[in-house]
Amino acid sequence: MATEKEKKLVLARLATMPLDMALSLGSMGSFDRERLIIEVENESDVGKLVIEVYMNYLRSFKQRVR
Amino acid sequence: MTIFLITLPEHDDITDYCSKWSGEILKIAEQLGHDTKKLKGSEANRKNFEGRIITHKPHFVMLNGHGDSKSVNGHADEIILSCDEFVHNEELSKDRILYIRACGCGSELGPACIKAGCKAFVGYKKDFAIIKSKSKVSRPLDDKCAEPFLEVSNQIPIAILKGTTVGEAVGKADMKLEKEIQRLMTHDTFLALHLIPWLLWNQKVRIVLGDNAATI
Repeated sequence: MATEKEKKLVLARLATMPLDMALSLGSMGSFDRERLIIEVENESDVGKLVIEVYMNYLRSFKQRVR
Repeated sequence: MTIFLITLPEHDDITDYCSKWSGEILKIAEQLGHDTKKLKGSEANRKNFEGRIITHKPHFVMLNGHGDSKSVNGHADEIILSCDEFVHNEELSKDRILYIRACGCGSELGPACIKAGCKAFVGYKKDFAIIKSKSKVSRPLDDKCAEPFLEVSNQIPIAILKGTTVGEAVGKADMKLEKEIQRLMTHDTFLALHLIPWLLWNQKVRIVLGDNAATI
């Protein structure tokens, strides 16, 4: 379960995503910036996955820096 | 001579991307003198797939397509390999190395193939992600966003075709991933913000089953 802080952090990241970019997730479909933001705001299955993936990256980035 | 069978469905954006980017794999297979059997577009159906396996008995099979935990699809999402049919599955996967670039197949289909006698299985236990440029969908090979996703995953079949073990092939993909991360972080930090999380996701959900030391 994502915290509100994590959700806000991921939404801030998604706001910087170029409009031309889209995420393809196999049979789940294709998601551009606007759709990803909606999915995260609604905490749908895709939204939860997006939060998990971005937060994993931020944690691994912190480890890399260390 | 090594026989290599690959499916190249291209009925939607993602299958088209995976198939077009497989060109690099085909080129290397042909340079190395492997007997390459391609099932392209609508040829990537169940009847042709079974026929090629039974007739040519390939040592290495790579499937591009959509999938789920139990099956992998070919053209127009026709199921071409499923874990619900053990005897059928045994005939199709026994003594072969399988690399499946499709979503979810690693969780149930992978173990079923190993049970059926597959030497080694490489796949993804959850969704395989690709970031693409919407403006490049008609020219997937020009898509710089998608490039690292396809190039990293291509390292696995390329290394297997070059004769490395499955374990080493996966290691080559990890090395390529590390290089891509470094390149993105130093040359395009803006792109890095959105590509690296999903490149790491694909690595996280990738699964290797069976004999790590298997070769073609």
